[in-house]
Amino acid sequence: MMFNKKNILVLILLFVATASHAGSSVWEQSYQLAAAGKYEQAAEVIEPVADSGNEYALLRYAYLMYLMGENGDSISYYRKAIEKNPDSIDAKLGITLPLIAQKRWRQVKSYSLQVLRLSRWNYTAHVRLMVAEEGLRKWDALAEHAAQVAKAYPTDGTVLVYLARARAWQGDVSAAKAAYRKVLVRLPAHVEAKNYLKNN
Amino acid sequence: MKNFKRSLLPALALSSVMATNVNAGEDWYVSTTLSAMPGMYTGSVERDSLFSGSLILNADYLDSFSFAMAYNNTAIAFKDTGAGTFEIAQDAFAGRLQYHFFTDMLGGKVTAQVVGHIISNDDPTGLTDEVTVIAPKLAYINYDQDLYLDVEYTESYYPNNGDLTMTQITPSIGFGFNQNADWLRIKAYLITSSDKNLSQGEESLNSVDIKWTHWLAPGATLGLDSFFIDVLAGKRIFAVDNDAFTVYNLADVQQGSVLLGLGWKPGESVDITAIAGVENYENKLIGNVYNQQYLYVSLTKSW
Repeated sequence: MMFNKKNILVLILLFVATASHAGSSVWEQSYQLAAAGKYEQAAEVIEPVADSGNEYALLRYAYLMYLMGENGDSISYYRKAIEKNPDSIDAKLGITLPLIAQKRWRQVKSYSLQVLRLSRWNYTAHVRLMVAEEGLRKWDALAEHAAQVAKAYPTDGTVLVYLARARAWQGDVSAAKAAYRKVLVRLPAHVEAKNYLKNN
Repeated sequence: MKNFKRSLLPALALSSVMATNVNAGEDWYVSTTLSAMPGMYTGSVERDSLFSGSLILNADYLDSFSFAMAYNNTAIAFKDTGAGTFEIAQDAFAGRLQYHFFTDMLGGKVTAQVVGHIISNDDPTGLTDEVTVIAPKLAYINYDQDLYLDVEYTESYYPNNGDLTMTQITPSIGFGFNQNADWLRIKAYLITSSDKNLSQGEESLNSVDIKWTHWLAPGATLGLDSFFIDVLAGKRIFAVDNDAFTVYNLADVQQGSVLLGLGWKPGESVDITAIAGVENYENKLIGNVYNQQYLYVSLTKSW
């Protein structure tokens, strides 16, 4: 017999080592290209892995497509990732980025709510939902929502900006000013807050 | 076109069944609009007054597709010109389907739309009865939502008026300015008749409609959310306005119009619109030029 058990074992180990080395090279290469702002090349390197259905590659490829402004492709790959893992918070938050770029507020709202059903106080999902509520000009909903999240995240300035905007659009100037003052405590250089307080 | 009526009716019925099963949750956005429009005629030899009422149901699935159904009832009272007073009562049904495509290449949203109308009335001459309309449209709006383009093709069929077919091409452009607090839309109506003897001697009529909308900051006078002015210049006959689901099958040759509209948002899911307008017409068959003045009020509730 030409191959004994020992030889087969050596061959298997060699194959595994080579394969894992090649895999890490692909990722390393892609990260380096992305860090250099070469998103297209970074995506090309991992495209075959993404097309093979690897979940991490699907998410990474979708994000790189978003960075390139290829929002349609980005949405398509995020959807593949969601199909593969419907419980993925990463994918559902990720897909909101290209959807925001395309101003598809209702879908942003839908995916944000799906995340909040999985993780009730997920900060990013709450902020993305606020972005959608602002895009849909739902000022009552935004004001109520932002006030709740501000209570849960009292050190955060971003949520207070949304609260202030909603109050301003509701015509409640004093409430808007109060919220913008809180923003300036947390973010002293915030231009929007400074301008509103200066003009009102 | 004759088969269109047969195919649209089941589609409307199916849409109606779908609408009753819609859950107005996070994916479906349903709204209903109820409107009333009383009007009167000045200088008309034949026409006295009109009343029009509409109900529109619209359902959007996320930002992907939508369908709408509209019902309108119009009654026009005619003066006694020898044969006694009489009234034309009309029922009009319309359906609209829209599908949205998002394209990074064009940097915006492309919408494919088709609208159909079926109209029946008790016009004693029968000429304006059983009218059907089909109108496909392609529209584009950029992601910044400050540029809008569309082109619509409309074919209206009047089977009881010597099989008259009116063809209408309606290109329009809209753009936002002043940080989108203002919106200007210019829309052309290019209308051609298949037989000018059946359309008051008019074979080809062109007109342009210009509408300026301004949205106000919170706390504006009278609680107003917006106001708009709409001016139509030129002539048109048997026009179709699918923004309002309106077919002008009972109208004479329109020779311009002007309207002022006010909009309120008393609640996040309620919109109220009030319009006062004047439309100029000429009945070329009897050489009568007259005006129609009207008020229009609509209430939209989103669910």
